[in-house]
Amino acid sequence: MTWLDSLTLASRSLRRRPGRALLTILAVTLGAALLVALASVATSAGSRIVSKLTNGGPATAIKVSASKADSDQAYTDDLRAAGPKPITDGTLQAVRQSPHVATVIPVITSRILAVPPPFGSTATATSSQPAYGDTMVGVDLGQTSNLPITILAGRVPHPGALNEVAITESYLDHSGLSVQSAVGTQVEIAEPQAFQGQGGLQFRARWIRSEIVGVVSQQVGTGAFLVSIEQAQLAQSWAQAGVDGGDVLPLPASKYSGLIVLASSLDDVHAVRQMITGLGYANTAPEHLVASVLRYLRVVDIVLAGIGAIALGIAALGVANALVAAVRERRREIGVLKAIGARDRDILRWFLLEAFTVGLVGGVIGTLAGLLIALWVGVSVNSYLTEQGLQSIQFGDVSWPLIGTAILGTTVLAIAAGIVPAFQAARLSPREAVAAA
Amino acid sequence: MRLIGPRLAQPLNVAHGHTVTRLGSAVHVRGLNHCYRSGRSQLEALHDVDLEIPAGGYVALTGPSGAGKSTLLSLIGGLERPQSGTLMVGQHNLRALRVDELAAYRRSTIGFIFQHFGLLDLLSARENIELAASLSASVKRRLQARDLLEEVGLLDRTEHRPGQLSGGERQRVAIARALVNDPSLILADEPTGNLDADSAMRVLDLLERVHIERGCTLLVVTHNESVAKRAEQRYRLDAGRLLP
Repeated sequence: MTWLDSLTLASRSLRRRPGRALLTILAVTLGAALLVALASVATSAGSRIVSKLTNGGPATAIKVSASKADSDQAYTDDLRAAGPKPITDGTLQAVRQSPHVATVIPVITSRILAVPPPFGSTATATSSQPAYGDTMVGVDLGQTSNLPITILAGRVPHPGALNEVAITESYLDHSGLSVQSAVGTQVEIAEPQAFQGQGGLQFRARWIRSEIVGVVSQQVGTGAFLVSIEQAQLAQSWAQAGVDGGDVLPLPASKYSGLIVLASSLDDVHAVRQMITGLGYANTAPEHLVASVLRYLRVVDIVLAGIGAIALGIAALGVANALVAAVRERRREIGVLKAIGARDRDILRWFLLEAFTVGLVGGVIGTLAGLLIALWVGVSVNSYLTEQGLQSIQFGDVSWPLIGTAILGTTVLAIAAGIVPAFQAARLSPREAVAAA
Repeated sequence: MRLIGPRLAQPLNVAHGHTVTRLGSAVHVRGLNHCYRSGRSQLEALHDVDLEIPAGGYVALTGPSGAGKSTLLSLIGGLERPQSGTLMVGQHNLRALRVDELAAYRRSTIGFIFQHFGLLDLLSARENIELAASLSASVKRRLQARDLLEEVGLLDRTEHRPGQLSGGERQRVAIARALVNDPSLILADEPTGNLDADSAMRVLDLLERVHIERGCTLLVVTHNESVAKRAEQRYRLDAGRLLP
């Protein structure tokens, strides 16, 4: 008997009892849907929690400061600085050479003077919104997804842009603007330089007017203005072209004010931090906190997987029950097939393909239903969060491994559930089966 | 081993590398005993049965219900293995064949016809025949099915399911299916038992035509004396004993 013959028999056998087939498929569908929905929601919620702990960046991100590590640095998540220590290109190279490091993103910060609109002719107070001192934080904005940056409105500046900034809520406090109204406005930024004038140490500035393209929450560096690293480099070069401004405007001691180092995996974070500490740099990462939270999330995952497994177990029992009933009903057909020369494996294949069909159809429908349920849960949760003035959560990401595993797992489970009845059918004595007519 | 009859020794390839030799359909039974257990009791279905059916013969087996007719038929057809005695069909010692060899024997040597027709309701007339052909890995299954349906006069019923056919038509489809692998021994268990007189005669005519044209050995189990009278040889089974 060919596979096509077996498949024809299996599919027509299912159609002969549409009610029973539908209920069996429904049981598998419900099991798969529950498992996929729980896994999808748990994954989204888990990644959101970890993301929150790491301030929007990847959980493997380590912040390196341009300062010396103290002796306790290796034992704590917090930054333990003991004096300045410049970060150079050599430092970058040394960190990048570690096999556990995926990416190294340099950070350059620069002191500035910011003037929110309406703009005046001087850098001093012009109206109710005075100029104020702040810091611009420059990074490679092509790697935003690898950085602890959460976009609250708009977007981040384009990589390399010299007249775009994203601001933090700190600027909103100074300017009196709201998150939504700030996007699209402009801000004047003065990049200062100290110089020796005729009357001694004096200051001047390179003025730029930038468009605010987004509002962000960021932990890359301390500062209200997020800009491209090129813009920060220009400001740094301008400042270094002058003289040391003392406590008011000291010359930058380090080429880079910090680094964001991404370990290859969560398991590598500790090793990378040890390596960085070994190089003498203070660093911080929520390593222990994330590990602790992940342990709790793992427990939640196990509980949810248990619930899904129970649902799938019930579905498997449904498949087995349906096939046992089918074997009982089809004793005569099995006997006739054997009488005309069918082998045990032909009968086995017929019933296993029936189980496979139920598992596959139920798995596909259940997986789609599970994703829709997860999406619906996401919409409901986000609606609630938005009403409460909280940031929404990204739900409904299509996880192909989850989809593949769910469909494959459900199909394999259905086949496994069909093994015992299929063997019962295959081992029926043809004489007894024919006599059962 | 003594072989009876002229149709001998055309080897057929079957699954698992076993070769089932095409036989002349001679059936040689000596001292065959067979019992069934029912709880603690034992029921003797056949007792010391001796039977010779020549190749190409046409034999009727009669007897009351429970006499052992169907048991003898299922033993000769390889549906179960004899418990004691000798049972040779052509070159095949059925006591010695393994499970897969018995399946190959049924596939290549035997054509079963049942009182209940034994057609799969899931499949059309054509598909029922093709399925039997596919068990022997036939590559011309569609053509074979068409030719056989034409032979039994049902070319206009190829796509009909068994439920859409009359009893006589179903039995003719069953005969076509039994013939698809060109068996040398046809075992018919009450082939006319569920048919009206007219259909029964047409089915018997067809079986006899096949028996003559193809040279198959034909063993018919029946309650019906008028059916039995048409056979060349008649045997009667009573309480597991074969009477001439």
